[in-house]
Amino acid sequence: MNQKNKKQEDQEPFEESLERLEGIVRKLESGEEGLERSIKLFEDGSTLSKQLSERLESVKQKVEVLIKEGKDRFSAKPFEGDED
Amino acid sequence: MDSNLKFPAEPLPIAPETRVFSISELTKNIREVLEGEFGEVWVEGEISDPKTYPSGHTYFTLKDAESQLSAVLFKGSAPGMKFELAHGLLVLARGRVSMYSKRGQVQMVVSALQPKARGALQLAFEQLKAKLEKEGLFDPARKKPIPAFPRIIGIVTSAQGAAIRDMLSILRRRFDGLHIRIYPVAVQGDSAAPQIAQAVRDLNQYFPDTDVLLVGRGGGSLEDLWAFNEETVARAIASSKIPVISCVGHETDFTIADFVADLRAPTPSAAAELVVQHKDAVVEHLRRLTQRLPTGLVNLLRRYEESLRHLSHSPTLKNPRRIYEEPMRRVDEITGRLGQALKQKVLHAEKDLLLQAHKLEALSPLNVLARGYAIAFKLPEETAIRSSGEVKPKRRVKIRVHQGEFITEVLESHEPKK
Repeated sequence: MNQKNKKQEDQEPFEESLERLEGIVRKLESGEEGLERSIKLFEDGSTLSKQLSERLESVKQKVEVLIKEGKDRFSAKPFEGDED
Repeated sequence: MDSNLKFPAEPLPIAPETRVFSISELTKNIREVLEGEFGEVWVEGEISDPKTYPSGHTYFTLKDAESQLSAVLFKGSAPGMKFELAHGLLVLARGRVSMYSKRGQVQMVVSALQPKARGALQLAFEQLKAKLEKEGLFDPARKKPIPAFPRIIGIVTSAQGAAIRDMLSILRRRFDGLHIRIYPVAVQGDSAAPQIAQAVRDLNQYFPDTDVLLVGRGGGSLEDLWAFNEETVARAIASSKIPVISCVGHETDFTIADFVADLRAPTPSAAAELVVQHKDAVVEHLRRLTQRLPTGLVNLLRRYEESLRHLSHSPTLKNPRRIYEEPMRRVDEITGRLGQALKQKVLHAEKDLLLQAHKLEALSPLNVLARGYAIAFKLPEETAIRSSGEVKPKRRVKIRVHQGEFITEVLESHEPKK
């Protein structure tokens, strides 16, 4: 690991996706949209909800200690003593 | 030549055994006496006009109400000194009194200094705080928001000790599924501040995908926590593009790092609680939102259904003919009445006509003929004769009677009676 770690996830931040879902739910509950639009919103909301759920579960816990080996070089090793 | 001036004929008598010093010898002696007599002394005085030269040495004057003494603090003499020599500061100074031959000056070479009124660290803290505050580094507008759902968390702290273990245990309990990067540093001693500052810079430069940094250590004395009051650490945190949560010591400890950070947590454990939401809470929130989706849609449909039902109950919709029945009836009624009126009128007119016709018939010349009258026509003109003067005897005249006509000859005519 000696290169600049670019942002790997180019997807929308979790927080923003969650806010979008909240927006959809509010719109549906207010009933301000027409029937066809409401059905589309419902579909979008369901998809979004599923994605968010998956994102919550997808990543496993990872704890590492960074070791500086030179000016620009780092390595990582798992943290020891990481028991509860 | 002025003969009044009298020069001594002979030089002043000096006893042969009198020691005559050179200036260097004398000043050297004076120095030895001074150093011998005083060695190291502690003085109390007010700093006046401190000047630091490019060499790093600081020259100043120590004075009280009536006297003053030149002083110098050589670079590196007091490496642990944190505060700055400020004009007017009352201090306690320890040093050697000596004589600086080249300038012929008595001088104190200072080896230790501390402010009289406050602790040295306290003063340094206040000086740096004022300086950085003036630069705007504590400005609330500069503080970056902490992401609500960070995925990658950087921690700058000691790899040993309770702080890191507590933080990790809390983080795992609240949100399993985080990526945690620990950048181990010394958290006290002289090497701590540069290491901490470098850690913050390195994480920014080489791990910019880190969502948030936790920078801190467990509790300790002011000296223990001192690294987090150093200018280099403060500036590194201020320049960090990654949001920084400071977590130094206990609830009551406030360090410069705390003022400069984007958020202060009172302790490392508190920082771990702060930085992630409890995963269960997030899952629950998501679940409720998802539940509201069909509910929202069902409500909408139900409302449509309700509208529809309401409309279908309307009498018009139940019996659509109603829409035109009523108007039709009225039309009929009107036309009915209209018809009656018309009929009456027609009847009247007929009667009238009949009457007129009878009248007309009575007046018709043909009727007159039927009563026995006759019409005489002049011939050949065939115009009706009204006066006897219109015809002379021997003229032929046509006579029209009720039935038929005949031609006669006039025998004689008589004048009309007046």
